[in-house]
Formats: sequence, structure tokens, C-alpha cells
Amino acid sequence: MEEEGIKSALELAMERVSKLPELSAEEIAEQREKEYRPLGEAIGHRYLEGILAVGELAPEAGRHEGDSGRIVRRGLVGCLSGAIELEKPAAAERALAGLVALAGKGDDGAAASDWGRLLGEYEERRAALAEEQAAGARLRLAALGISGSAVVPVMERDEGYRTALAALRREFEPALERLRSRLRREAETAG
Amino acid sequence: MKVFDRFHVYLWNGRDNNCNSCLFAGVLPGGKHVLVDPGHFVTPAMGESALERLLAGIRRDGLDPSAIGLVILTHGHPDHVEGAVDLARLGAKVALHREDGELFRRMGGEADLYLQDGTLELDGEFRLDVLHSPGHSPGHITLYWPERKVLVAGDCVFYRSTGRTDFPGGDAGQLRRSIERMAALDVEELLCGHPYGHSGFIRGREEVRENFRIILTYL
Repeated sequence: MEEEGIKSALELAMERVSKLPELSAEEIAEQREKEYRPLGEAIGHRYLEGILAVGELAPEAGRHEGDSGRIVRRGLVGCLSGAIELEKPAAAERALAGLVALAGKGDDGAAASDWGRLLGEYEERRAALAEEQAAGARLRLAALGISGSAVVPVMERDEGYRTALAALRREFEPALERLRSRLRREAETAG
Repeated sequence: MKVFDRFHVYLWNGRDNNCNSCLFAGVLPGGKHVLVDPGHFVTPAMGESALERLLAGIRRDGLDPSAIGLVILTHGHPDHVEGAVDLARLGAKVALHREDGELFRRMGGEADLYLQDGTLELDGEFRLDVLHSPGHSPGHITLYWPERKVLVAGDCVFYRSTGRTDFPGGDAGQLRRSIERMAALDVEELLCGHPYGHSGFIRGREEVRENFRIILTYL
């Protein structure tokens, strides 16, 4: 009688598990995504920080197979495509090289050319915007009695400049997202 | 201490490390002043009330510290800029070179304007030459008032010595070039950034020249 009443820790745990509701396929997929996606993102961050070389991306992502491998790769590709930003061109170019390598293209001249054109246009427009807004900032400083060739307005703190810059970024975002999306698609499907 | 019309110096005489300061009086609209290098708020090792001492000195000269409209920082090291964070809260604008902007941000400050090599005109008639003088820090500047031959040298030049170049961004070669450029100016009043072995206020053309000669001999 007594023996029947005493349960091992394993039996207790199994009993609890059996009482848990069954997970749906979507919930299982969601859990796997939560588990494996960060692994891919971590590979991406290590690459962007220069810890991994471009040639190490595919082997690192390839350590996981099947569904988990696909999720890891998606995490990696998502991390790299998210790093393609006009304000951080060095990181963006590294991310772009990583995505091209994952797509197995070796050298994607079209992607590099699209990126170069977008960045060139953006930097030109941003410089013009800064110059235009700086003129106003100089006038505001002159009203305080501060002027001369040594004076450089701090545009980062200028509300008008920040607003105009945000609008400029929004204007470039659709084209940038098209590039990201193309690179993402090619890098994910190649795996 | 008033040196002459419009120019006051405040030489640090505490026991802890802090910088020398100076003030250009009434050079901004409304009779407002420009303060250079307010120094520490409180000195780090001995807890001396450095900013309060400076403001008391300004009051002793018959000037109102609340009328400080602009604070210029020769560079972004804490012993020169800490007090600027407090003065900015009271409404003063703060200026330094862009390359030392990050150092000031780490102290909790934000520049209102940057200064680069060129001319700073105040209220349309008072002129200071700003010299970008890297070496002690990447964004170090010195100020030259040609009308009265005053040079505010920050931590580039001290009495018979120079500023350190072993801090991040320091560069001995750049410091030498910066000092050579200063030595070519016609200077009669030289305010150094610290009172090391001397008040740090070197007066008279010959004495200033001798100081540059000795420094450049061994630099």
C-alpha cells in the first residue's frame, strides 16, 4: 500500500506533463522559432562585429539541420538585412557582403551597385539638407551675438534638421526595403 | 582677477588638480560674458568646491556669474568641462571642438555649437581667433585675442612644459605642430591650462617667447 503511494520525482513530473494541454502545430512552430532564431541572429552579430569572416557564415548556420537549420538561417539573414541602413554604411556594406555570400553568388554586382546608388543619392540629399538647415541655425546663433568662420552649428541637436532628416529617411525606406527583401529572399532560398 | 578691460583670469590655487579659467567680460549682447574652461564642479580627490570658488572670484571682480552667456571649452577632459554641465543648466551655451564632443557627452553635457579653426566674432565687434590645436586631445582648441595679444593655451602649454599626450587621442607629433603654430603668434599674455610649478599665467612678450623656446628645445 505504502509503495503505491510514493512516487518518484520523474513520475511526478510525467504526471504533470500529461495534464498539460497539447500544443498546436502553430504553437510548436512558434516555440522552435523562439529557440532557434536567436542562434542565427547571434551568428549575424558576431559577423557584423568582425568576429566571424564572411566565409564562416554558411558553415556556422549549417551546424543546424532541417527545420531548426532553416530557422537559424532565417535569423541570420534577418539580422544581416536589418543592418542595411543608410546611416551606418560600413556595417551595411559588411551585411550586404554576408548576404551575397549566403546566397552563394560570390560577387553580386547588381546588389552592390543598387546599394551604392542609393547611398550616394542619400548622402548628397542629406548634405544639402544639413547645409540648408545650418544656415538657419547660424542665424539663430548670430541673434545671440555668436558668429564667424569658427562657428559650426550642432545640427544633431537642431529640431528642424532632425525632423527633415527623418522625412528624408522615410523617403528612401521603400527602395532600401526592396533591396533588403531581395537579398533576404536570395540568401534564405539558397540555404 | 581683472588683467585689463574685458579680460579676467582665475588661477587655480587649490590643493587638488583643477584648471585655470578666464573670462571675457561683456562681449556678448546685453553685457553677457564668455567663460573659458570652468573646470571641475568639485575636485575629485579632495572634494574642493572648484566651481563655487570660480564663481566667487567672478563676483569679487564685480561681475555677475548669471550673466555668463557662453562657455568655451579648450578641450573635453573632466578637469576643464565638468562645471560647464552646471552652467549650461543655468542657461549658458557651451562650445567646443566637434572632435571632443563625445568626451563632453560622457560628462553629461551637450555642446550648443562647435568651434573649428577660424574667427569667432562676438556681438559683431569682439574677435577671437580659434586655433584647432590637437595633441593633448583630438579636439583641443586654443584662443588668441589679437587686439591684446592674449593666448589662452589650455593644456597644450604650461610653464616650461607641455600637456600630456598619453590620454586616448593624444599625439606628441600633433602637439609639437600645435605648439609651433602658437609660438609663431605675437603673444604678450599666455594663460596655461594649469598652475604646474607656476601660476600658469605667463606675462610679457620675452617671457612668453622664452617659455616656447625652452619647450620646443626638448619637445
